[in-house]
Amino acid sequence: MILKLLRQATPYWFLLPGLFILGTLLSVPLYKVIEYSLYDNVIIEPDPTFVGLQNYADMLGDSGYWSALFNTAVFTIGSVVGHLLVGTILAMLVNADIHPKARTVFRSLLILPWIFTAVVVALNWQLLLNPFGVVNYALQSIGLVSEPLDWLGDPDLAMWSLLIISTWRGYPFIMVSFLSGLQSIPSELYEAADIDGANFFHKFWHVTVPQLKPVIYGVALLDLIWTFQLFPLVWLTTGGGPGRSTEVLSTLTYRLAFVDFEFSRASTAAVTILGISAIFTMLYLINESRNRT
Amino acid sequence: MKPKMKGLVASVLLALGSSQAHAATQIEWLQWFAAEQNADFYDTIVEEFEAANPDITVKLVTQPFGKVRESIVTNRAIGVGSDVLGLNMPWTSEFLDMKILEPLDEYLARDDKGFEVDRLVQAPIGKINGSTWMVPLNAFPFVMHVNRGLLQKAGFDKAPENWEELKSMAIAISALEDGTSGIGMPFSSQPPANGPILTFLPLLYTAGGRIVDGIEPDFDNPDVVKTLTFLQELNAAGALAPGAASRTGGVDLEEFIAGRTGFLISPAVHARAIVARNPELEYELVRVPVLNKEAYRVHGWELGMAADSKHKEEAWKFISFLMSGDVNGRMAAAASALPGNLDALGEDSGEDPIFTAQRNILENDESVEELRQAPKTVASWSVMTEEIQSMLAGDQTPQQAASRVQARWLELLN
Amino acid sequence: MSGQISRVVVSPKKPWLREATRVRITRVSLYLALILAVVVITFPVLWMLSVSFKPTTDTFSLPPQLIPENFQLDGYIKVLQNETFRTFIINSYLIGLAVTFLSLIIGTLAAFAFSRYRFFGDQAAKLFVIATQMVPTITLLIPFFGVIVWLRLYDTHLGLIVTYLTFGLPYAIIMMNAYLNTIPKDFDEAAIIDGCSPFRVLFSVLLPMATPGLISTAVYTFLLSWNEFLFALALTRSTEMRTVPVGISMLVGEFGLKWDEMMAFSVIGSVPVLLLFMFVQRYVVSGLSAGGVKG
Repeated sequence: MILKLLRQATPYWFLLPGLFILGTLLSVPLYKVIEYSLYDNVIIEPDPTFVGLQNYADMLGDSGYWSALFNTAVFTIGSVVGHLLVGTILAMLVNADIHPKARTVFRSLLILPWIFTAVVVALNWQLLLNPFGVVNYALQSIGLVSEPLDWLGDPDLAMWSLLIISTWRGYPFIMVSFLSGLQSIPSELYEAADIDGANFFHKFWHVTVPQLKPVIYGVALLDLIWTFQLFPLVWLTTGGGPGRSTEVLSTLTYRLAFVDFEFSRASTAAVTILGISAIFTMLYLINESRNRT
Repeated sequence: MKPKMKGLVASVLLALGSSQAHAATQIEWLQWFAAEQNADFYDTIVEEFEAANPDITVKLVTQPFGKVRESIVTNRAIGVGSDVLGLNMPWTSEFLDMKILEPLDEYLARDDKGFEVDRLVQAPIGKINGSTWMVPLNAFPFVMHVNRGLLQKAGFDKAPENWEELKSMAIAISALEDGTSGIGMPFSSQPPANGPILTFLPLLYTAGGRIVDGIEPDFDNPDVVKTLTFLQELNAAGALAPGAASRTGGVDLEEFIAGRTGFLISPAVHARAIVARNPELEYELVRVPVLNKEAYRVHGWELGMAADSKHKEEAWKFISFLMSGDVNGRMAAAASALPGNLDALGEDSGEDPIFTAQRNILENDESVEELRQAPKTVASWSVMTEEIQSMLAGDQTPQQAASRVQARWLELLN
Repeated sequence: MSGQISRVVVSPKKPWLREATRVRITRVSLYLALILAVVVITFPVLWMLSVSFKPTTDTFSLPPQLIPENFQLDGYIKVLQNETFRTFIINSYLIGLAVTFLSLIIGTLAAFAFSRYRFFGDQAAKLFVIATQMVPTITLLIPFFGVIVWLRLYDTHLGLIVTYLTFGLPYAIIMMNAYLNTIPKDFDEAAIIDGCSPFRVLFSVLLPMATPGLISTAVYTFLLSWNEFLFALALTRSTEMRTVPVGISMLVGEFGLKWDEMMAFSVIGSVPVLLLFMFVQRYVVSGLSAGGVKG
């Protein structure tokens, strides 16, 4: 009896350290953010007034919020697709059968975009995309454009530029995660497919993808959640501009919190991000439990 | 590693020893000044102060400029705020709303301080809500930096004195060759997105205009529209460097240093960087071209005290030390600025034309600082940036831009 | 797995080229594709290197110079001579390694529970783990800061370590769970029949096969703490406690930017990361073949 109870307790023991750390450090802040969103003038005033859902009502009536939500959707979908596409292709390439030393060098060079802090990435791209910068210079030299383009200052181009930067910055995460997944696929499966005369795409679709599925779903979910609220890169590269053409929910949240010092409204925006991310996560969990049974 | 360990042990012992011997009061000084240049110099100043006041130790808490405003608010919310605060004038009204600052009137009225109140640069000590909230560590007048080489190439032999000259010269310089522009306008949204207060306000002040009436936003007035129209004309005539909507203050400065723009409106403090980094530039510092009033925007590094400081006496002692003639003079020199305490202003030997020109502006022109009492200043200049971007893109008229800024600014206050 | 493509394959179709030629063509095109990818992707990094080796005036020269005309090491000299920057680099590595180590252990344990057990509240626990990632950190900052001060971890290395642990653990848990899920359960069952305890199953059977997953988790958690700026700045006030991103941000001043120093500092700080990654990559290959043999 006791033995059985002990055995049932096993998974809880394994979970305990992780949940303890996350619980102690994050449950209070998470709760606080939700609480702030129900008050007026938190942080600034010692005695904020409870306003119920007023902040939510105000926010839903604000066109700035909706346009930021739209930009966030464009930015998130564009970035995640970019990350997955580039990350997968490069993971396959650097997993291929080439000289092991060359492989190590290629793998290492290809994670370079990941190892610099956001402020450096942002400032470097500002240099590259400046009207007098090297990108415009190259495009002009080969005759693709006649006048320099203002990549980060033209409302029609700024989001595209941001997507390129975000893809560049974000794919190594996918590449490294997939690479690990690829490496754990037993080679017998490929050998069996070879015997059946499968070509490259056939093997990719019928061996690689099904084997990688848990990893793909996990990585895609986390990438989605992170990109959905990605802050430093966007803020430091465009600051949401020009105008508000690249303003996403995270930059709006920051603007509300630390430019306008409206922490209640910032928390309200943050809670909506939480809500939308929770929907993604539920879908992931449902899918995962379906796959397991 | 070994000497390091020894050092660690020694410092621990020292800390123990000193805390037993005489419990020195520690005050914290949050600022960004030591990150700007010469960090060692600030350590020296602190050591000097500690030597003279053995019962006080000062901890320098240095942050990048872009984070200080936010840190002051955050730290104070958590209850770990510093005692002495480095301040930027545009933050004032927000900090007063949050009751972060301690009124300094009572301290300034004392006799034992190291400086005379009427010898300070006056703008920062002007009263708001009946009190003085900060003292000027130093002052940076806004000026215009001129690339005389480009000017001569374009056929002019003296720097522009008024808007008309500025415009025609800027057009001529832009027409010179690929890659040169008359003047840069840094209207990027990239943080801090403060282009309007760097270039637009100094021009506006020479038209006698203002953007604040008392403590109320007043952006849609004829002087503002006139100045916006001037910017639009410069833009239409091709006098501006391309990409104003993505141009940051930093890039604006660097392109001037690289010799690619004729004129740069910015704080005089940039003179030293310009001369040091590009000695071949034929450089001159002049007042911002005038429409009808010789006036300059004054900016500076200010010092304030936290209202919730537990060591106000010690904090004041430190502020008083930093403001005293000799120390203040050295601090100003280290920052390539003019001292906040005018008694520390060195003799003008007439040998350094950059210094002479600045002093000349300081002594003769009207100084303007209205961002201290402007409400929601930081948010308001983002709004100005966005509306000016839209105006320069041809999407709205100067009048529309002015009205939109005014409306959005008022909206921020609700 | 290496060598599997070059193995002679029994193909039902008649090969239209000699096998060796086909392999060679595949290999050459692979190299070409990789070189192209590396050139495009590392160009921005090359530009950073270029900026780090030239005077700031030349950073803005026209036409842009990729290869510095006035080659100089000033940025590097200034950074290397600066004792504070050395402290920042040491701090970043110390904190990063501690976070990585702790995330791997704690994360793997939790992932093992999620992957191999059905228990009451498992979905809720998983939702909570992911939920901690869902709020923009900028809004968490102030309440989180309060917790850290309350725990007396303000301005300590430990404070930053637990902070990054809370950011890194969810990835470690979710991804290690995913990697463990790719390993068929037959392996544990066989081990359990042999009389292994759950711990033994995890450490002796599963983890060797999940080494690639451990590596990617390690890379992720390390880089997370390596790159993080917002909390690193807010939760420290002493120079001795700060990390590289804070040091870099100090070079972005009110009145100008020290381009050469900033890029030099980034490069110097990042070279060991790159070497570490290379080292780890070599290890992956051997770890994998060991697992592969068992599979």
